[in-house]
Amino acid sequence: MIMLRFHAIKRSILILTTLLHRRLVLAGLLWGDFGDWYSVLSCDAGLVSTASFVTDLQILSKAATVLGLDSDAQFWQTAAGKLSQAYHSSAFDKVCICISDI
Amino acid sequence: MIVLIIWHSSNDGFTSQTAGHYVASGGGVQTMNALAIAAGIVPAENIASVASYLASLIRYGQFTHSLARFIFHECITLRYALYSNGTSFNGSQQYVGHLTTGVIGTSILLNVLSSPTVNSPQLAFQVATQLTYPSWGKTLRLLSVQANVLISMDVCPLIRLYVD
Repeated sequence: MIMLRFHAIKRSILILTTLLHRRLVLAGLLWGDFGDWYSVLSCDAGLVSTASFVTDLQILSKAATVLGLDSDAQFWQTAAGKLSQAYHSSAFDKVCICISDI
Repeated sequence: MIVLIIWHSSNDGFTSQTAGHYVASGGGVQTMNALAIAAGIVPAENIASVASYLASLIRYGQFTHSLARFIFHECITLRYALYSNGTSFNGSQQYVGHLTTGVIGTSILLNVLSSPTVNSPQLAFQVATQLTYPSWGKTLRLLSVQANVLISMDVCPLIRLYVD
């Protein structure tokens, strides 16, 4: 039963991954319109979607590890790592100078 | 060059002196940084700076306007300080001790603040117990007022069960 559930989750992730690939080609960067709804200050929906998707991939990888599917676990962990790098490289700002310092 | 630095920094909406954090075009940096920590996206060498930035965002508030609005609000602040009787008006630095997150960021913010990575449970308590907007306390107060109005108008007597 757990294995059936795992494959169902895997199929849904694969569908999302296909959409992700299309959006990557179209938008050139990240995907999704699943933003931080009802927030006081808004942030980029694509980045919120990406971070949520990273969490999904990590859960899938952990489930594969528990079920003994090592190749699946490795594959989804690698995918999560690549998306994490995309999030980091597109939103991380190394330069930060406070206005009050100037 | 200085103008460029001010423009760059004012667009990010930050007050922290910490270098290295995640930015958001709409000012929702609390969500961006909390989400990155919660999802394990931040590389090991940057975790300390991101965690410190998130804590300082809540501790000191954040600038929420562009440079033009920043100058405008600074002028209002100065004018208010000159012509008012000593009462303060904090026009540019807002949301001190408050959350600015939405459904995604709110679900993880308190956990991230209390986690060993950020290690600021007192800030999580401060955010959770605020009574002014935006906070849970403000929402509960509004709901309480609305519920009392409904009771006084005898529109929905059953709501007494929830208010009492």
